[in-house]
Amino acid sequence: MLLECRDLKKSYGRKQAVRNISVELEQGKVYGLLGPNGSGKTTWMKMVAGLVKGWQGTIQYQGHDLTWHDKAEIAYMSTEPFFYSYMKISDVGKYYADFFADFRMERYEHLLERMDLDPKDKARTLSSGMAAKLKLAATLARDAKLYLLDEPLNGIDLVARDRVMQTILEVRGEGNTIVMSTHLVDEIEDAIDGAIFVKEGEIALAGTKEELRQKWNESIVDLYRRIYG
Amino acid sequence: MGKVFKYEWKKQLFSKVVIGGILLGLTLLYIAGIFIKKDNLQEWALVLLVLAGTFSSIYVGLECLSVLNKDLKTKESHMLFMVPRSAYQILGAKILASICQILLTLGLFAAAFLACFTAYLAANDGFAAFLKVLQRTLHDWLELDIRWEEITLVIAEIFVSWICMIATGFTAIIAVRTVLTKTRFATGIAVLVFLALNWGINKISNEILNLGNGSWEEMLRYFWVDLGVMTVITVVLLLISGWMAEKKLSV
Repeated sequence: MLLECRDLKKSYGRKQAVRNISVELEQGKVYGLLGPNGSGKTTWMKMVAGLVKGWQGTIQYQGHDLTWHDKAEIAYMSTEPFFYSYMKISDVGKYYADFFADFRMERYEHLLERMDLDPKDKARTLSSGMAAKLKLAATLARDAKLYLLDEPLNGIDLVARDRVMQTILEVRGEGNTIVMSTHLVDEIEDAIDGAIFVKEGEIALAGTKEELRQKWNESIVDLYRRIYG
Repeated sequence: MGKVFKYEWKKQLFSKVVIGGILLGLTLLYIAGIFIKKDNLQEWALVLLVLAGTFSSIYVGLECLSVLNKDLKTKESHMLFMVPRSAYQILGAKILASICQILLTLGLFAAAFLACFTAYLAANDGFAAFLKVLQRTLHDWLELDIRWEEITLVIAEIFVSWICMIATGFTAIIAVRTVLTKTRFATGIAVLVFLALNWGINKISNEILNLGNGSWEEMLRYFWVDLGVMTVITVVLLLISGWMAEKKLSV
């Protein structure tokens, strides 16, 4: 097992963002973390990425308690742009190369080209769609064991989505684990091996895609409608 | 830690370029005053150099705190905290970058002073005459008398107080961002906590400095005690900040 979370809870003041999440991720699988906005998906991802602290429960990564050292193998991509305002697209690559031994500059340059990004452009001047592509290029240029992609298709137009999904699935081919949070379920249904439905900070339903389809005799999209409808 | 330091350094480099430009301008003004034999211009340039050096040091300190606050307030925090480094290493790099920023500012100030000094020597009667002019200028304009023993202590005190101020700011910002993550007024509250902590630390410092019987030797001794206490307070504040960032801070 790559990651095991048990009885995770996290509150911000009186608001409980994560009430009770227990989940297991296997190596080499692609998971859809599904649920509407505010259901606790982002908080859970940030807990695993080491950006949210002060939680209760346990997170085991490759059999040991999660520590800051594990950030070297976990690639997190947040929903919003997060690059330093002074950085050019090329600086973003240098930053990742400086901190992450698994970062591949050639792959980054290849992804920039594929996503029509100019290394000389300033990161902060990009449109939301281009900024989303830059986040993906930087994150996917890492050869991480676990990718946590928070709303990777947000802000990306319909035509470019296919190219983005193709890029994500190329990473999958290398035996890495990917978790994609999204509410655009129909866009990812074909690509995922497992689905985790999160509702009000708890796991509403989880399992492999085939198990869920057989047990409920419904597609993942229809299950989504049933759970959140 | 070195790589975090590199990017922290870059974040604040622009203001150093501006400070360097101002000091260069004032130095050239002073040198111009020497060669066109305008004493008034030289005096103005010297006074402005001293004031620019003082305000630059204060500005650099506040800028360090403002950068940390921005780092924690915006999504740029992800850049800082997603890297495989502990919170202690990240804050350590920030403190180190802050210290180097002030040293660079002091270095720029020293270089400007040295340039003025060299120009004066080239045009006038030598080192002793230059010091006399400097002493007279400071006395006339700022009512300061130069005593080198005091200057050494004052520089040490400024340096330690400055680092202590940064540590206080770090503690206030991290404490407020830890407890009041989503509050709109977090920056204002952090400023209030910072002022309150500084008030407390200044009170302790003043109590120590008032312990002596007023003689020069006694004053000197308690000055060193004060420096020691400030250093201990600084270390404790940094450890508290690191612990909060490591265990409690969400970005």
